[in-house]
Amino acid sequence: MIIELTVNGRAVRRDVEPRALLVDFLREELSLTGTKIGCDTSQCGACTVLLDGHAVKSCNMLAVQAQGRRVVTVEGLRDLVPENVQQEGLHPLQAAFWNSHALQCGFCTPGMLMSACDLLSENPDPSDEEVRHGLEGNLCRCTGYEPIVFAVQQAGKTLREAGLSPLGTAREGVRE
Amino acid sequence: MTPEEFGYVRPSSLAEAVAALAQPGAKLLAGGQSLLPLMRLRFAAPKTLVDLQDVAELRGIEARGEEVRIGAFTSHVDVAAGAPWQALREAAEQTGDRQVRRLGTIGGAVSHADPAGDLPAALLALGARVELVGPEGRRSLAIDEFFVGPLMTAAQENEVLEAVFVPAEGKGSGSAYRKLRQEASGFALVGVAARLRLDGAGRCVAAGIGVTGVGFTPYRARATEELLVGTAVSDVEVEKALGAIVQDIDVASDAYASAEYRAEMCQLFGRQAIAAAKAQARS
Repeated sequence: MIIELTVNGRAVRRDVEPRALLVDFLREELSLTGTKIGCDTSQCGACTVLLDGHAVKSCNMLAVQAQGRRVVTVEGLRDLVPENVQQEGLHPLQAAFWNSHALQCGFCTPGMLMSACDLLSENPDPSDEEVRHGLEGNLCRCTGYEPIVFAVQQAGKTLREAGLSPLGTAREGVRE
Repeated sequence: MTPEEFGYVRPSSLAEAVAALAQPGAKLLAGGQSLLPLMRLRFAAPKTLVDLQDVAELRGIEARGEEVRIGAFTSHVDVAAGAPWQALREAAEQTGDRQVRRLGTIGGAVSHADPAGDLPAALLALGARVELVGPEGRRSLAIDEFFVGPLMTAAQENEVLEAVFVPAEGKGSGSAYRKLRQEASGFALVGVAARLRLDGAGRCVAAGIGVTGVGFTPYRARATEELLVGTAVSDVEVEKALGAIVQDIDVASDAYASAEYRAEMCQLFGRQAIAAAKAQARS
């Protein structure tokens, strides 16, 4: 069946089988391979993308369910914020992960970034505990999570200083 | 793994959804957070999926007289943020993980009827009911008549669960949900929801206790409820009431927890849930 949706700001129209998972559609049909498949049981969160601005697991959703909706993958993350807030072409979250060594093998990173984006859009200044609870749907087998928690908080600080949510919308009254 | 082939329809009203579900082999798709994993493992292979996301009648939380109606398609995130009763909000907040809570729905979680589901415990404690709509019309069912076995409910194959109804929170009421998580899966090894109503003198005039992860289905611990009513909910009285929390239950035993351990944890988490409900009821 034909579906129309927006992916990373671009209108997309494709003919898909109802059984195609959103993650397979993104990777195979649109060649957006930044979104990873890390498990077969919807537990690891490596496939996390934003659906209408909120983190969801694209392995646990059908492409046809995304008809008419907005999807952002890690490839579209940096374009959510203006260029003057990007750091060397990276979204503040990506820059913070880079600077804090919040990854080793990097396989979970795209999913971590998208979940963290959702978390910071709701809570601009999360505590350690709030970051851990917010990222409980994303598994990392390398880092032990410490640098990830730190990176998310650093990105939160950068975004607060810029008066922006991680989705790029202006934020009143949180500028420090 | 990719699911087996199926057809897909997206009705825009409840009447259309009921009609679509009447087709042989059709199954409802809400958030898909339990159904799609089963289909990917090929434990389930419906012929047609009836996606409910456009059915407006299934959305939202609103007061209806003495009750609050929670549409079946209301997500765990929205229940955690906007439902009445602390126990219900806490159970929604402890279901799955952030991404699952965004797509997963209360109707889906109730219909999936996982014996370790969090929301069923809270709904049992609250004395909730569900409304089902089928080709023959609408019917109401108490939540404790709804769970009939592991992943089995009293809903007929041609019925759509339209909404969950919980009583409005009255004066002197309090509730809480406390859970021992299986660390890898996040499912409840033991989960206990408690609801209490206290009179002006601090005496318990109504109690509801819902237990999950322990029995064949989530259940209402009626003996414990009866032992609480009429008391001042003192430590000694709570202890005595909790002595009956697994009465007549075949307590589950598996690689994660023995029956003895689960029964013991029912006491501990039951005590915490009752204490939190009592503190709220007094405030």
